[in-house]
Amino acid sequence: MLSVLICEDDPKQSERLEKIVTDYIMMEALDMKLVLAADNPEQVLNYLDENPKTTGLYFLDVDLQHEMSGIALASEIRERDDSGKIVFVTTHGELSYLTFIYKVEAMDYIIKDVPEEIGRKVRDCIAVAHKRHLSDNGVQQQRFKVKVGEKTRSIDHKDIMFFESSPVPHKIILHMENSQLEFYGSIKELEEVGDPFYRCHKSFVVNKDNIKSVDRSKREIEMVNEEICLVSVRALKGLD
Amino acid sequence: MLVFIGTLQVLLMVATAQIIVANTYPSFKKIITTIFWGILCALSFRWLGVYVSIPMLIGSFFVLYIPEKNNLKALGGLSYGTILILLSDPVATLMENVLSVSAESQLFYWIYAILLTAFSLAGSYGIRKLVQLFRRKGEIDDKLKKLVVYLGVLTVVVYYLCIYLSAYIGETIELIQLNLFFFFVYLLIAFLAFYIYSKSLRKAYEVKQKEAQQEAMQRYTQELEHQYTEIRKFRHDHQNILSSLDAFIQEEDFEGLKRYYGEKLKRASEHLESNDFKLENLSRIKVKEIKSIIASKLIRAQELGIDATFEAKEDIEFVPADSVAMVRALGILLDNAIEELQEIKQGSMQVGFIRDRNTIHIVIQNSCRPDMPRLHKLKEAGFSTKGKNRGLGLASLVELIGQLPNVTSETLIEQGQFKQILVINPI
Repeated sequence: MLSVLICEDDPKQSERLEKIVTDYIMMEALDMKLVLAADNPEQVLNYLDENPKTTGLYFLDVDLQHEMSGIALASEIRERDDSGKIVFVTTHGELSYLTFIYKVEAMDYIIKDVPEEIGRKVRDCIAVAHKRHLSDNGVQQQRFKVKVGEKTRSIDHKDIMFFESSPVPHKIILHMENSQLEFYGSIKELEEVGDPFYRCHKSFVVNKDNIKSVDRSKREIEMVNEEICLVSVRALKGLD
Repeated sequence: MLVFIGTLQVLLMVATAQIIVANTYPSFKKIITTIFWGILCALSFRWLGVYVSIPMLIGSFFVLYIPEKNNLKALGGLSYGTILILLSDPVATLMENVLSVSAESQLFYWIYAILLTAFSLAGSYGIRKLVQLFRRKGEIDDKLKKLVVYLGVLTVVVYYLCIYLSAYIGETIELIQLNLFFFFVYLLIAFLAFYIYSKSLRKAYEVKQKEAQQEAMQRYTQELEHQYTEIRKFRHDHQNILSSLDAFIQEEDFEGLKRYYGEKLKRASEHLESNDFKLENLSRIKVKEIKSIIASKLIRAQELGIDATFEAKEDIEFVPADSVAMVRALGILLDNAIEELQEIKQGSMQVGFIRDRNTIHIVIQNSCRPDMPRLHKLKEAGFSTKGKNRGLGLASLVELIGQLPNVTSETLIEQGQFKQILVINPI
């Protein structure tokens, strides 16, 4: 079950949010429940400490009239509820779009200045969170965990094309469909991740599931995203 | 005939020096003095032998030095001129050998004189052009100038010393040792010259950087002042709005209040969204170099009509990475974003500094064309969306960031957005 938690210091706004949420859950008969409407961040954290298994959808006001801002609260929530869905409720002036996304991996944000929009946005968020929650609990995908900065990112194996060792010592470049991510590590330890990953060159570990074709004369592998990865003579055998 | 050649040599010494360093034509008096001194030296050859070059050089030096009283200039011109003459001498002799002109004939001297004059004058003209080129590039600082001049003087001294010594003691092992010694001295000087040159280059670069920074800060300050007046205006409006609201409520005119809200207040909140308040978070960046590069690029972007915002919710007091490399990397990234937005004529860009405990994430994202080439294509060396050989591509950025061991990068293209994130880990 997905729990919904609200943290909003203004009672009027809070009341409005609560009503939208309970009405929508009831109308759609979703497996969700509004468990807490708090007016300060400590209540939320206390709740999570008492109910450590909570997976929540959080609607957080950014400016809480409290020493802890909504963003700081979100960071704390992340520590306790890794897969929780966070939605910020904010005014236009306080909108910190990049921080929402990159610091707390917020799911979305709602702008208070446009009252007509709030209801629709809240309902959208609930629907999306519900769907994601179901897919999270569905078939467990194979995931590759990588530490970037202070955070651990988890990447679906099927999105990974290959790993390449960077010319800079200790850095590895993870190639995906249309993105590249650097992290600290060594090719050796990636080799040990196991299927479908294969050490095909002294500086490459390829995902065999994403190979489009192998050019044996040029000793190159073309991936499904048309990117080229190198392969050594010895490793060619393992690609049959 | 020998008198003529001797006089010619002194004339050439002065002439080449004049060509190399001077901007004016020599005065009549100068020419006469030179010719007079040349004849005197040439006549004394009979008694002095090869040592006649000493009075020749000293005389030429004074001819050059006296009018301008600039010994560096006189020495430099004279030494390089003399080197040219000394170099032209064997070349001229060699050519006559090739033409097989008898060394005793009158013709030999004439051709020798003509060749010597032609080579040394042409050479000095070449040096003059070279000096002008360097001066235009502004790459000569005083220390380097001195060093070059001393190197020239030393060369002349060594050259003559060799001539005298071989005339005096003949080719012996001591002479070879001496040559070896000179060779090492030269090597040392060459290294020193290279060192000083590279240092002066770096200094020039730093000065340029500082100037650019200064200018950016100036613009930033202007922008802040502008914002401050905007805020004052807004505060004034705010008071007015409150008092009119008060009036509506006192009179219980709720229809009027509704109209007033729709007409006036909505517009005021739109005003808050205008460019004026999009860069205010910049004040949270306390690292001057980084603040100035971002301020200058984003203000430029706004001037170009681009919707550019900056976001930092926490103070950034310190960025643990080489600031020169960081500034260059940010410069490239911001320029790329601006160029792309100018190209597609729509969309927006966001720049953000996000601190997560001890790590700083720098995010630069912009809208991009829908048919953006794949990322791995963009990262190929020399690739640019702007055609061949233009712009600093992502390849050079990768190289730049590669130098910084605690910085990792993430690049992604998704949903019409190009996103670049630099993660700066604590050292």
